[in-house]
Amino acid sequence: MPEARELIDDRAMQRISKLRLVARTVVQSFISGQHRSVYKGFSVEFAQHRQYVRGDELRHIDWKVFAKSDRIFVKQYEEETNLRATIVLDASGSMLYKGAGEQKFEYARKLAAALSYLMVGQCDSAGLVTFDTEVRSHIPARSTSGHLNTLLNVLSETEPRGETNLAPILQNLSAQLKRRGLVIILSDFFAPVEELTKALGHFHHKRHEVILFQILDPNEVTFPFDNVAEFRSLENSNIKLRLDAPRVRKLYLERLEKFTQKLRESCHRFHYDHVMLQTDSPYDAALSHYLMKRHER
Amino acid sequence: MVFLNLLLAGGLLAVSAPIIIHLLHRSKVMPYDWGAMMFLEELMAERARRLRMQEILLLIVRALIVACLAFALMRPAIKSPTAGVRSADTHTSAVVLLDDSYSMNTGHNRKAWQDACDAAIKYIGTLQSGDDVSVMFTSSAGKVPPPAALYDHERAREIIRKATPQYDKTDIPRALSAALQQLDSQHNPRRELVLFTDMQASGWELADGARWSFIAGTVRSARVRPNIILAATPELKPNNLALLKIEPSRQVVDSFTPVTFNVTVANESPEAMRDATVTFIVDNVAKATRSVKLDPGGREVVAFEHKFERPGSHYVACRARSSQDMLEDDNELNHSVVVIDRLPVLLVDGDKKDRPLGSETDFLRLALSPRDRDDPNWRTVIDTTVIDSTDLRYTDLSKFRVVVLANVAALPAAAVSEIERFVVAGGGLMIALGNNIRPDAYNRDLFRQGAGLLPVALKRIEGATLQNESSGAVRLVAAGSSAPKPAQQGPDPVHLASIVSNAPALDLFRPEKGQDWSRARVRSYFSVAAPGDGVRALAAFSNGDPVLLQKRLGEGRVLLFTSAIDMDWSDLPIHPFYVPLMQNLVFDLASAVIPPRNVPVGQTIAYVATGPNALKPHILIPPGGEPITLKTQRQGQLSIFTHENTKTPGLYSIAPEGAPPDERVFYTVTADRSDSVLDRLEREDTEKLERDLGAHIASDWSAMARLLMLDAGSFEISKYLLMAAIVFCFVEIWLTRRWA
Repeated sequence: MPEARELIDDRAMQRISKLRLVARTVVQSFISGQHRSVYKGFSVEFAQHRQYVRGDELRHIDWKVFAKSDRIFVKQYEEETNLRATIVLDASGSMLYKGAGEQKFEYARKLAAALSYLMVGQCDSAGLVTFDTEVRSHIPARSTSGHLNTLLNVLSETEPRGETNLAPILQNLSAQLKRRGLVIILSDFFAPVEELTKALGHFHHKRHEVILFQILDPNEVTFPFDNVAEFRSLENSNIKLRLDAPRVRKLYLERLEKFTQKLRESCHRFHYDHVMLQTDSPYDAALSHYLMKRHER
Repeated sequence: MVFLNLLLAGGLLAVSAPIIIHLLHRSKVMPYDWGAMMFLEELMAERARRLRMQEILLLIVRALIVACLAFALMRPAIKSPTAGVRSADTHTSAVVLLDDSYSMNTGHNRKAWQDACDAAIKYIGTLQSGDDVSVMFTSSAGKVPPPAALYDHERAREIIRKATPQYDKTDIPRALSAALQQLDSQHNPRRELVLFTDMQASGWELADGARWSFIAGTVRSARVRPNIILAATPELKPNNLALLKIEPSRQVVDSFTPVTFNVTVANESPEAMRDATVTFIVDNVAKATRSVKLDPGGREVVAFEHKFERPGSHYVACRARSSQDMLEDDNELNHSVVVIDRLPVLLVDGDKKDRPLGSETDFLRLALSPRDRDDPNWRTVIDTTVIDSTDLRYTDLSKFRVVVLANVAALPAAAVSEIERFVVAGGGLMIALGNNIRPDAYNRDLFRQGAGLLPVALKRIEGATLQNESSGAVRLVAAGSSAPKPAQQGPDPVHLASIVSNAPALDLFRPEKGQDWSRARVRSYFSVAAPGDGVRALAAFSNGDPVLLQKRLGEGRVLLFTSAIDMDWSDLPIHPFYVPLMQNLVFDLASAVIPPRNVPVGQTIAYVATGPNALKPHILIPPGGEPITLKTQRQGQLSIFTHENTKTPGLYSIAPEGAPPDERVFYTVTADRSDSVLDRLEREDTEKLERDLGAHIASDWSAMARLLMLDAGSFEISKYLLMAAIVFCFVEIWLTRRWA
């Protein structure tokens, strides 16, 4: 069976290498001077016995019990990991926006790569979910060193498109993540806040911890346009709005603030972290929040 | 609604400017790809409708600003809501049309003209600053370019003060048309046309329905219907004694024979005139005065006889007086007379014979230049010269006043051309027919499809055919002859029967004059084709065929006698009337004085000088005016002196500079006498004018003032539109600021 590495072409390799380099640069520049507190490995701890059933691996048979009771039991272990984190990356069309800063998706992709690099480097499990109106790829969390390549490969191949369907995606994702862990959502969260709140509630119900990195372009925060302008939706090319930008700026900013406030309140209710990142700012805030969350565990 | 400056309607295109700017602005909108559409969509969902409404509203307001300005420039006017009260808000364009016919001079102490001028000046005084007024006169309106509308009302009053009545023929419809046209070209919203007139019926031409329909149509189709007022001068007694015409009894006046001048006097009034007198003046010397009693509306012909002593230019003048007369302008009449002492006549004989009275022109020569056996020196003014038709080409026609072609078979082309030039220049030509005539040649060379000398085309000889068949020659059958009438002679002779046109030469033979020419028998004559345009049949035979036909060619005349003038075809020469008939016909043909010296008002008078005088400047003395040196036009050996300003009737004289008085040449200029009838328009006439034109009759100033309150004009709304534009500007600024 050919290895995954063989299946990806040179361009993909270049992309991955570039992304890895970016991620490593980001992480190293961030942690340099900080106390390195890398968690060492993980152990497998015995949990209970159960009766052998056909198909169980022979290596898990507890021969001692068999010797004592003449009955065949297998040992069950409780896996002990450092952290299972799932990075949820919004790859919808709205992330294509590039204004005063870097393109939102590019920013999010680099951030996801950096987080992955950091997680794998700390022996944490990292998974990745990309989506627009539906889930495009879902890579379960693993902590093997080769897993980083898989994550970086998916990240590098993903291009944003289509409309956002964030709330249902998150709701489904919460159902799919069987084991509780850290869910890192990278998105602009441009979706109805009530539905988002409901979807985030599902994570809370499953006792996941969630960090919301709301990635916005500075222009989206300040709306600096003059004169009448035509705004074309990046998610739906049929939607165009012509309006007098100075006349709607105030209302737009009020709307954005109100939305952000509601999102922040929802996060507060579920004890989630809400971090607003502008694409012209460094990734420090994001990584800090991750490490802080990691430390709390 | 009407627009007083419709030419500026193009300004309305500027309304499109805000729309175009809006569209251009739309095309320059910067496009942005945008992620956070969610918030904008929410905004738009709430505000899109309002924004669009605001945008449309602003666009409307901006377009209204431009539209108001454009409409204001077009000066729209609507029907006045204030029922015509003159106000400072509504300006007036007025035309003052003054009837300046000479009948306006009617009156003893105060003339109707003064009343009309005073009323016109008073009317102009009612106009306000900003109103324009055009002063026009009935004598010139429509004949000269329209005057400029005046905003300087004092200047308009000055024009009226300086004006005097004129003597042109009055034509009220023409003047009204011109005045309406002038009014329609003005720009103020209210229009008034006031005709100050004596309402004299003459000149209104009310019977000419087509012209008045046209005027009524002009009034109806005017951009702003004018308020037409006919301001009548106070009614005066229409008593007028008028001299209508002077007619000499002879076409040609000579220094041998007394001539009678028949002066027609008219009493154009409803009262009898018992104290009228007519004074006859010759060359500024009163010769006689006659009393005339005239019934109401009556006419009387007063005859004055006079024998001129010397040839040359003379004039006679008549002056009429009556205490009842209200109008003096038609009391004097002049007539220029050219007195000659020799009338050269060329007789071209087409049938020359050696025996006495055998030639074609023998009887005619005797009739024109009879001799007195007792007095060898006695002679008439007519001096005849007889030539054979073959000698015509060697004869200088310019030495003669009249040429008679008597039974000339045919004429060479050169002779025809020479005679045509002679007639065109004012000479007289009589063509008498006979058995030598070749109709084909005459029709081809002389008639020329109506373009030649012959008045009508010749057809055939009537009555002579049978004679020719029986005897081979035309037989002379004298009246009263006892010779038995051959059985083969054919139809009975015809007679001179009737005068079918008004011809001075034939007046003597009218039944009331006692001369009976019907006894003459005409055995043969040429039947002719029907006369064409410009040809008059003067007299006819008893069977209705024409005997005398006349045609004008250039300045001269041609007379066709359809029979022979000798005894061959008729017994005319043996009748006593033959002599006066032939003389009168010759005098008539020689009566043209070129250029004419008795002309109507307005016609240019001209004098042709020859010889040494042609090089001298000539002086014209107008009636009661300063001498004028005339302008000259040289044509070879001739000098033509002309004078165009003949507005004033009366006696004019022209003479070389420094010449003695008896070298003066007299001209008379006479006004049309239709203005002498002072009768006013009838009630039904004025009612028709009121009905057709919407005109109002003002018989005095109070009526006029009352009529001026009638508003047929309109109310200009330009300034309100300007105010609206300003208000819309403020609204636009306020809305922009508010919605920004």
